[in-house]
Amino acid sequence: MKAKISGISRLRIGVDGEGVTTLVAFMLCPLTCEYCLNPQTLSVSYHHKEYSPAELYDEIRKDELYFLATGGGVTFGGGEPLLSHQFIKEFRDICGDQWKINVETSLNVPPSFLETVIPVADEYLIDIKDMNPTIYKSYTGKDNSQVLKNLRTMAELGLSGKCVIRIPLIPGFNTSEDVAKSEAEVIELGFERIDKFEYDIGYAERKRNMQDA
Amino acid sequence: MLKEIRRRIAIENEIEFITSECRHKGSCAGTCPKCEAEVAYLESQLAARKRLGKVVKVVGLSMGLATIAPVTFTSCHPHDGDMAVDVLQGDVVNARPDDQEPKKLGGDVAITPDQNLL
Repeated sequence: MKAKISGISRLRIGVDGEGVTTLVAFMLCPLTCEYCLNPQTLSVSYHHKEYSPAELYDEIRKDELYFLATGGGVTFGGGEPLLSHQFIKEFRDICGDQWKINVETSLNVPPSFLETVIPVADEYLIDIKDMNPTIYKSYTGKDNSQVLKNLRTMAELGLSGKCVIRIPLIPGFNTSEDVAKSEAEVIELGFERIDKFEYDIGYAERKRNMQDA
Repeated sequence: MLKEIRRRIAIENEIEFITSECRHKGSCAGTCPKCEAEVAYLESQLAARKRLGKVVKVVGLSMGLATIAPVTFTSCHPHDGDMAVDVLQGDVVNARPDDQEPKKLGGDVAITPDQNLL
């Protein structure tokens, strides 16, 4: 099994998971977000590498001392990492139990994909965009019914403590009031760790321009 | 911070560890040859301890260090603004108290153009 990887970023500290982490960004995403920060993951022409789980392990195990000392590990992002759910499961089998595995996801995937990863992931960083289906579709081009279903599943399985729910204020798409409504809904579902923030459109646009150049 | 982690591992495992200031030109994210060599040295010394049947202590040694210290992304010299885009993404581990204004963040976990990818 091989996965298309758009980038590997080593030695990240306190950014996307506890301790020292390595970010592994997969290609492909079901969403087409207006301000996507990693649009290269959607481009079929983008130069990427393909790794098997064992090859990826060999690539990033050089930082194992840091992972073990700080309670860190690997953060799978993208793109949408849950599209590579079998890869992540196989990677866990290879890396063992001591590394943390974090997943940065939109949860907009079939429930079976999430079910594959649940036994092997330690933490989820879930960017729900907005709970309002109209706003969500307007920003991502997709509906959020799978997101809602997967959120409910995680809450019912008692996994809310492993989740950080990220709720962005998206200029031109939602308002502070919308963010507050989304927050209330996810709290109602049982989630407590919530990260509200504002998208930096300027950065996304600069990145896209660099990509096009 | 990475240098401090290496130092702690050395101390806890009674490994002689003499480090010097990095002479790497530009920002060092902990991946310069000197930093990598220090990690390789520690790994070899830890493996030697294992072979001798001695206890090896690594797990959790710097557990708090990477969450309470400021984000610098450097093993040798803390550079203000080093990998600033990553800093903009903020700490997504702990939820912010309600009475604080939301930070402006970069959105999703980003691969930045200035990072050495693949």
